[in-house]
Amino acid sequence: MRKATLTLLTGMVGAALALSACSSGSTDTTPSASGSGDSAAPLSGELLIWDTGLLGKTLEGGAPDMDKSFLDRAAKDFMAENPGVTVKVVQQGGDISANSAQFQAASIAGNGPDIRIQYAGGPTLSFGDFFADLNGVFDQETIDSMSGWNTVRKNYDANGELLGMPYGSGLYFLVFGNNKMLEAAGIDPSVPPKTWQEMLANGEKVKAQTGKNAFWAANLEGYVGAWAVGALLGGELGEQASTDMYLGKVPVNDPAMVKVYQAWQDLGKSGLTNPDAGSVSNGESTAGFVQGKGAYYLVGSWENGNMDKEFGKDVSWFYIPMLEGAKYPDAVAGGPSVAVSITNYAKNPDAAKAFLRYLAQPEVQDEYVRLNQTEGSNNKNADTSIITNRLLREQAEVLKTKTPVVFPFDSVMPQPVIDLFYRLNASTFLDKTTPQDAADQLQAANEKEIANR
Amino acid sequence: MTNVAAEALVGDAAAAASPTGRRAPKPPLPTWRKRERRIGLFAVLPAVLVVAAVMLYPIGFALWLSLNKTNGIKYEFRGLRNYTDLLTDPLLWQVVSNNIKFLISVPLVITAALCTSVLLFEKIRGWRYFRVIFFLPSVLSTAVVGLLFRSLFGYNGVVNSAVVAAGGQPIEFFTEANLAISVIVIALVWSGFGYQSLLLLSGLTAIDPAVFEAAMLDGAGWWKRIWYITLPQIRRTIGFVFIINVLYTFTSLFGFVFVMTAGGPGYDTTTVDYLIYLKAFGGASIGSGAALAVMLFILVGALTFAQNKVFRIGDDD
Repeated sequence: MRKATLTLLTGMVGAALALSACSSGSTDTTPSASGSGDSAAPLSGELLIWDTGLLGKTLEGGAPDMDKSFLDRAAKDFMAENPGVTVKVVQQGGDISANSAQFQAASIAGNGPDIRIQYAGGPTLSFGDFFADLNGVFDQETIDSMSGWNTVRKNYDANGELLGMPYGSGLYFLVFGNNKMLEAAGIDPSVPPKTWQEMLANGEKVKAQTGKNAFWAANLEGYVGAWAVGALLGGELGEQASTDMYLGKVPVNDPAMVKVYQAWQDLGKSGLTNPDAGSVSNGESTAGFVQGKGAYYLVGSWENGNMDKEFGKDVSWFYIPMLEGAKYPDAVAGGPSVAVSITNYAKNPDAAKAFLRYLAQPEVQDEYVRLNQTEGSNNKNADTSIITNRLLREQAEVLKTKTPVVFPFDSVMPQPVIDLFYRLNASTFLDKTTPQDAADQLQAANEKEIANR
Repeated sequence: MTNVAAEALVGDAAAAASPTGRRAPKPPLPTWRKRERRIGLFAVLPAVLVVAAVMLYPIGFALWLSLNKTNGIKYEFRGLRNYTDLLTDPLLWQVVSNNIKFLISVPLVITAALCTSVLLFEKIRGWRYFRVIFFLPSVLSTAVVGLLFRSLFGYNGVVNSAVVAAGGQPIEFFTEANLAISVIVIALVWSGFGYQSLLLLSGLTAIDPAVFEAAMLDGAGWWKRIWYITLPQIRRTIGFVFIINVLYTFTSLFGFVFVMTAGGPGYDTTTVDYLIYLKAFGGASIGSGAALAVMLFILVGALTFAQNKVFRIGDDD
């Protein structure tokens, strides 16, 4: 009797172990449209997501804009498919330095979100200690169908830990033109300037002919500088410009960086921008251009939706032109911008993984494109017919002819260097820091980061 | 005579009677005294535990952090290197010099508070209303005050509208270091003088009215009474207000700087407390931030000690 009981118990334990092994082996590889592939049990509990204004949109009062906010709509649909899960979306705000600090503080305390959405590249890699490795979360088919994975792998190593899921085909730095203002200055908006200097010459014409600001810039935080410097650097050093600096192969205070910073400072001193460019914040930037406060607007393709809506056919665009004599005159800066990561202290990791798998579905990605019209899908199975924005379509066509495409400085570098970069972009523009000093400070900060790596 | 007083006398007498002049060993405490002491210790124990939990532990932990290279997850002991690195970093000295510039707010806020408190003490017409009005800025959060002054002094703000109306050019208050610091100082004075005038008023009301009456009988005028009676009598309160203002300048400007300038342009308005935040949470160098916090703690402690000596706050009159 005793022997029989022992045999029965041994058999039960063995069966249980075998089942659990099968279960864990299949956990992270089964894709599921319903998002409940982790286990047979339905998902439950709260899923907390912190977004930095990348996938979600809010109304003026702070409530989610359910008509336009992809993230909130996706969360709603996910909850409908998984009735046991409550998804809570928190918007951290658009100040990159501030929301990074907030996330880091919360992560140290272990009370941050289950999922965080931030910029791909450096801003994701810098928080590698707080993000779970997503290797094994997606099946091979999903991995193969999407691009941009290397921008979210530890140290940009193809075999490194996967710290996030790239989302969207990429955003690119460009210049929008107010056609009416340009035409009033005798400039044909359909003919984009070929070089940075040519663009400034157009600006001189605008100022002389109309007396209005040639460029509208909102550079309080230094973001406009980041776009301009990042793009121009690509023209000087090519595709690997920023990644080589990240790895220490090229010093950040390379003469090319000083030259680019000089061009940026010259724009600040030219008198062609709005006089309050140094104190207007990024949040006020679009409104100023829409109000006609400048003929040109240095920004990125994330404004496609707003520009199309506000100006219709009266807005033109061109990728930020390179400096005269640039080694790579057709360079464009930009690339995968959004990364969705799961924290390694997530309270609901199963629901978090399921939500990421849900977002990775081609039709869900199409919904992101349809709602925002700022970038395409990074899924090769995407439906391109849903791109209705004229600007986005035109940009996709021109992008095919552009090379190299440079992953910009503030997407690649670690967060502390990025924070300093923004600060220096603001002070260099205002002639408070010399181009050489700015480049030297960045080099010193990067050396420290490399030593810590 | 109480038992305690009697014990004290016995103790003094025993010390005096010792031929070598050395204090004789204390007699053992009576049982009731020991019990009283135990009860006393138990009574203060909760407070001691709270202080240890919310003050001593964090201070000790900050000290430990300052000796490590850490992002809050990984720790690597590096001794005093965080301190030496900071002391050789030119940025630290730039930031300390910014803090020194902010010290201009101390005499300004004390002068404003002193004038206000004297006027309230003299019960000028409507003093009850003024007392409330002057205190109102103190109940506003730093963020609100910061936003208020940022919009007031913004490029399209009220101040610049007045400048343009007067025929001038708009001024970029927040892109030039000294102008930006000046605006923050104005915000500091505006938000702080009301509370401090009430502190000074409490000092004024503690002065014996008979002193003023005697001075008036002796023919002392208003100014003489202020100079020879009022100010000396509230010396300790003024000293206290001075000390908390200096403390505030070194440790509590964060909110204003964060909201109004984010420490920019460059690091021109960055203060030591803001730099601690930038290092600890912006730069993921929590060890370095903690080292800076410890250095600030020592600096503020030394400054407070020095001011205590200058104002002779502990001395009897």
